[in-house]
Amino acid sequence: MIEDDPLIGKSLKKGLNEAGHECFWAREGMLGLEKALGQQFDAIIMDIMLPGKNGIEILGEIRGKGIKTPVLLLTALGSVEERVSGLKAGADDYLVKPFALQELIARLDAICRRSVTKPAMVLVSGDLKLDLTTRKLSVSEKEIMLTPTEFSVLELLIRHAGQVVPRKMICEHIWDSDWEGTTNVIEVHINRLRNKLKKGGTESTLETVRGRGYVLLSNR
Amino acid sequence: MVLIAVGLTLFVLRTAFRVALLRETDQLLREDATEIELAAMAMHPDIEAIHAEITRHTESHRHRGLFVQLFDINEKPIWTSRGAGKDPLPQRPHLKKNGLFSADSYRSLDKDMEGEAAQSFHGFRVGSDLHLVEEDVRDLTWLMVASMGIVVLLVPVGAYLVAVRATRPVAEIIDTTLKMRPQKLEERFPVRGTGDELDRLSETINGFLDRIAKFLRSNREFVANAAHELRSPLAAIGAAAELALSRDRSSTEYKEVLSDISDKCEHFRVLVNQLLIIAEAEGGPALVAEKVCLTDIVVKSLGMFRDVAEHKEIELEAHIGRSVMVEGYSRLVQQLVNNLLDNAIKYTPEHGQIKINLAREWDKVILKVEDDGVGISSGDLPHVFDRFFRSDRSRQREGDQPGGFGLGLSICKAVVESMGGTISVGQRSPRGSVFTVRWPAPSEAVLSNKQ
Repeated sequence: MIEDDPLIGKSLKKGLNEAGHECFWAREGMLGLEKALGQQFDAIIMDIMLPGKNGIEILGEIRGKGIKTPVLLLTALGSVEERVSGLKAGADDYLVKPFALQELIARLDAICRRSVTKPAMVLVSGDLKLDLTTRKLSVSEKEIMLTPTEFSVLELLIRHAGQVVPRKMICEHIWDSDWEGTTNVIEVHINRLRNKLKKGGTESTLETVRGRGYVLLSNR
Repeated sequence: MVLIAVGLTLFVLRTAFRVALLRETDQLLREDATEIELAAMAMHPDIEAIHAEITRHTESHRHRGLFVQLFDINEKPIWTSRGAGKDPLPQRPHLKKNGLFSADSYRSLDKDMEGEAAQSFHGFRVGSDLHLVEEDVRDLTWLMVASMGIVVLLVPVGAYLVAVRATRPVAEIIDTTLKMRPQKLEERFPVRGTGDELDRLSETINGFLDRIAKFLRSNREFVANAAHELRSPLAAIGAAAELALSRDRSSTEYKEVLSDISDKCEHFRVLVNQLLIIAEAEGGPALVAEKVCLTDIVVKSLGMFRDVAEHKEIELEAHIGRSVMVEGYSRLVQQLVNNLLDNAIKYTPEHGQIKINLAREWDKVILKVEDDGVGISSGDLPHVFDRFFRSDRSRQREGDQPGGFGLGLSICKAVVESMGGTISVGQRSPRGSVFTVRWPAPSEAVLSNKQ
């Protein structure tokens, strides 16, 4: 992690450690670049505005050396141009500050999976089996019918099983939209999905974490 | 150039004047000669009388430096009148042939007498001093030089004075503008009521200043309101954290406090993002307008809200034209459409109806969102697009829910206006409200260029 803000850095490091990741924290750009070039990391989290060398420059140099480590950019600016320039420089994803820790961890998992492992054709969580090719959900060999939206929501939740997935992230996953209004457009789908899962007799539960998002728990 | 022209004019005028004066001199000399001839004929043979008469004549023409000389048969002068000029008289013998000549600074006319009078004297010469002519020419030349000099000198001065007079209003505009500061835009340019270009310029700039002042005023209010909105969650977070730290507590209590703080932060985050959307829409130049398919955006938005509407048993009726295009920025347009639908769903009770209409009509693209919900009171109508405006009805409904900042519709307005469109709201009979967005339809040329 290359981040100069002490509070964000401290929280992220702690959060990542608790989520089971090891984390090296560089507080300025030059050290960050040196580490990124000299060591094999699973992923790099990097702020754009940094003392020493800014994130886009570091990214350019890392990618220029042929290092394909997944990079998640953090930015406080969030303007369209900046996001585009970040992605163009070779970032795998970006996150606009302020962000929820759960979202950061979820996205980090996603970009690591994307680059390291082949996409799994069947996602499994507890007794839930989600077949991505036939787009079918089964609970102990019994099939449960889902709408396309419900399927997408569940796919995201299974990928991040046990983690809180923020509403905003679900919204972006289903509708590719960062809109945040007063109407909770996800709630309906979550409720239906929850009812279907309950009816299907699964041990897994879909919990609402008030004010933050949803989490899929496989109770065992 | 001017000097050469002036010099040439002077020279031509002087020459013409001189020629005219000489001609005049010649004519007068001829008249003198005739008079002398007639007098001599009349008074012959009393030579004394003739002399007296000639003297009287030359005296009366003294100003011309007139002289008369009488000659004998041998062309020798025998009598000369007084009154000639300063220079010595011409010393030429009398011309055998009558005629005019110029010599020794005199213009002279020689004439022979005829008949009996020729016995008194054979011929005579009458002449006038050319110095006087030259003096006249010189005087006139000086007069001309002087007057031209005055003209040459005075014209620029005069022109400058006239120009200063004419441009004084411009100078006033410049002075006033120099004094203006963004914090102090009250001053306006004087309109003199003459209706000329300068008045129109002043009026145009005044109008522009009015708009800037209004914009700055609303921005100041916006910043103040935003700060105020941010202050409440900030105070809540501060208070909660301070209280939690004031003494040792159980982990359940800590958890509760931290959860509250986390909620407030989420609230904070959404508010800041919405403020940034407004800033982005109003930032204008940072965004390059592109061709946006409004049809796709409305369909996407309907997809997002369809199930919520169904859940509330609200009927969603959509009439959407195919491939309706506008120029804008798709992310912002999506925010706009989502906010309009969000608003409609929020205020439509169960079993209500929402109608969405999108069509291109001639040179306009029109999006209409109608609902048969609680409607908006006529008192609130003019304010629904104001930033942070919340009617009482929405305060009751939203409570602490994130997103309820009273910014949704002002985001709509900022987005629509950034695209050169307008948004309006009206009451719908028998109940409900209708939001209408109008954009200028992009020209076909623009569309094909961007394809």
